Amino acid sequence: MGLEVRNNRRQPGRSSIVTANRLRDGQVVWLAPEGIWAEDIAAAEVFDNAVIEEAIARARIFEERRVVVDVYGVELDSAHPGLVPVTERERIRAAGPSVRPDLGQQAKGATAHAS
Amino acid sequence: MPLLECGRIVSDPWQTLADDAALPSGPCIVSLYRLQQDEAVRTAPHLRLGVALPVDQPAEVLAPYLDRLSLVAVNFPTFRDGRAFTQACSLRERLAFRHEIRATGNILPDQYAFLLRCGITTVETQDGADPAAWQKAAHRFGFGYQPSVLEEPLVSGLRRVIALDR
Amino acid sequence: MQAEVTLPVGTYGYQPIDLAFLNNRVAQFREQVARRLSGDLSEDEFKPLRLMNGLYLQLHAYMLRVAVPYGVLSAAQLRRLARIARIYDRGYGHFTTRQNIQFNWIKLEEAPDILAELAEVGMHAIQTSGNCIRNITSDEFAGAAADELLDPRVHAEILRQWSTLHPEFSFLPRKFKFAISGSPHDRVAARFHDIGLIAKPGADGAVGFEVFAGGGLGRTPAIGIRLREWLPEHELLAYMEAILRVYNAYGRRDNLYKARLKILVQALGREAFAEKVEAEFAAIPKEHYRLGPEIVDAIRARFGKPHLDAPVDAQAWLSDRRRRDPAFDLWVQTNSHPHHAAGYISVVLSLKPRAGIPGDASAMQMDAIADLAERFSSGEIRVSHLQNLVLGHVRQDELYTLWQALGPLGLATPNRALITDIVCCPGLDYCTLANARSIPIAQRISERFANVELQQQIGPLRINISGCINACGHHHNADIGILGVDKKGEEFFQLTLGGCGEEDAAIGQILGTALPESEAVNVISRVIDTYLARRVPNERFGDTCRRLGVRFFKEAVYAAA
Repeated sequence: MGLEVRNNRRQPGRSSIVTANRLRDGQVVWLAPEGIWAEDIAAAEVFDNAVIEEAIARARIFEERRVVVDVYGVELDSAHPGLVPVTERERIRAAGPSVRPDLGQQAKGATAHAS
Repeated sequence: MPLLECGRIVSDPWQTLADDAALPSGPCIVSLYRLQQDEAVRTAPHLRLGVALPVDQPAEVLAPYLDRLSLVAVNFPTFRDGRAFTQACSLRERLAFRHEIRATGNILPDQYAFLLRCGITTVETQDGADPAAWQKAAHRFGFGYQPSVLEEPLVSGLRRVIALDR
Repeated sequence: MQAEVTLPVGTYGYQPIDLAFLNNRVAQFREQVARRLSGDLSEDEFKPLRLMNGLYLQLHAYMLRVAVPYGVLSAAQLRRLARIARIYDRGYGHFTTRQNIQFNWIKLEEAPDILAELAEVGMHAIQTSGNCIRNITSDEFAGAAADELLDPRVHAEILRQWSTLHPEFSFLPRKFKFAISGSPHDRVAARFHDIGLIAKPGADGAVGFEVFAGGGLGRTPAIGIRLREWLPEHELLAYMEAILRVYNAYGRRDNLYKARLKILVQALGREAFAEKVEAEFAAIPKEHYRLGPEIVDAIRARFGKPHLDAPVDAQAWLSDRRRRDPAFDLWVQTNSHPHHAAGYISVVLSLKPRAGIPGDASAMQMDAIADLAERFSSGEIRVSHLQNLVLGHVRQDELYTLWQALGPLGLATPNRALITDIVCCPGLDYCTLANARSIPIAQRISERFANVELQQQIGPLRINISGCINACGHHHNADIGILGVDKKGEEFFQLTLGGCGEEDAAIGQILGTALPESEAVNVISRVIDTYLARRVPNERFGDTCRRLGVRFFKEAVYAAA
């Protein structure tokens, strides 16, 4: 399943954040303000879906600079407080494997939400 | 486009001939279509003739013309499309073609040893290609674990010496 | 007593020239990583190169798939994997359905160092991913099983070497998978591989192969066609070249999902495909590709032999111990496999503990198993494609001591081939391709059926779980197959029944509509209840399913819902 399908989920009125993997170590990272790529999803800059495509396009400079690979957007679940992705996949990606609560961001006491 | 042979950039006497262009006096590479359709091309005396084999054609389509050909160009539309390796091997092994096989298209230097062991002799590289990088890639491994279409001395077991310099 | 110290038992002993090859490969990859980091290679150019060294970019980090050729490890190699897990990963590894091992938390910049450490013990990650020839898998009881006609691992090694950095076949339309068995009882699912080989002895000690091609699972499962009933050993490489050449030339390049050999075989039809292979084979210069017995013998000579010298009363000693210890007796009954040598036995170390993660082993467990292998099994460990480990050559009078050591390590679960011996892909917890998590439902089933007596009562029953249609859990080949699907953002599970990976090959049929996890587990319970109620004495689940038909189960089970 390619990036195209994931990037397709864009409900009007909702918000999204930008994510990628760090090139050197594969760490899941989230685009925070000032061009920082944070490991904790809670630090991500939130974009209205009206402007998310622009934000993703701008963030691709970091692929060129060999900081990250595979930049794409992740829609947030508006029903939750905090930054919680709509899809289970992205929730697991943010938090760590659901079957190993001792591994990943979830083990660091981060605000990542695992389903 | 710089032509690589035995890890060095060499001058290229060949030109690629459009289907509607007049025959030159020097060596020229024609399309498969022209080779098949244009009798004048096949019968022109003293003309060194080459053909660009499309990636989706088996090498066997060239069987009727091999005695007329001094060069076959095989193509990599992307470096991941490995059909040209089989085309080259078929030309060498099945069709006993002895002249130049040229690789064109998108190729990584990392593939050079594979190209050579499939019987390819020259590579059309991109501008700015570093022949030293290609040569280094070709000699990374001293032996292969399988027979190739080249005559390679046996080491032991399945191992064959990779001896690529002519 | 130990086997020969110099040669590893059951796997190829690398010579200095082979180790130098691995080091060259590491140097090559180290440079490729440097070129990627410097921008000399784009991600698009780098990706196939890193895949051909087993490195994926996965859900949480890079994942490294280390090759375990034909599923055999030496104790030294297993210790090295434990070290990799400890130093470079998070203290565990995952054994896969292709007998390899995966590490999930790898850094790209450390990958060359990891490969260098692996190379020291004759290990690598060459071609464990990418559009090339992958690991050649084999029978977890190879070289030990009483029912084996021929130990196929020497030929597996020959095929491994032949396919390594093959100049013509490193950029295929798609991945290419081999399996080889030496037993008429096909434990490797040969008919579900791109090429499946059944090695057999012929007249006068000749070796030959039954050849299947074009099988596979994934999105469109297919049973391979038989190309040859008897291919003589000396023509093995030439014939494989012929098949690969046809595939490389004619396999589709335009559509990733239609690029496997099975699609080509179906598109051409079996006759036309077989003709193309035979035509290619006829044109290959046989002398140039001849696999002479001298080559086979040279490679065989690099395999160490297990120590097989049991005292005459070993079997009696085991019988006696079994009589006196019911828990031990149960474990032997369930987890052992008959050995060809008097006084010896093979045993399965289950990596499916109650509610555990199928196929995972901690670094501590790996080190302990390496020690036990040296002590009890000639230093050899096997990895099953069913995601368990096997010690192949255990003296029967030492089995009890081994079992006692396994218990505290969590490696003595008596569930081999039973309902809780679940085969399970990593799923959405780890894999970017997945649609659903696979491990939690495996854990639910394992809990539901944890009772040892109940498992024994049910008998052999294969459950396989895949988290997406790529079917890395091989669910098509299971008595009960489970496929995770995404229905409007929720996890649902599709059940299939009646699959079989062995010589009576069959693809499972869909049981009914996809269900949420708890309902799926309830349906499985009802399937088991139906089976228990309807089976004739001593009838295995697979046979009952064949006899009554999937529709019977569907009606019985979904009607009750």
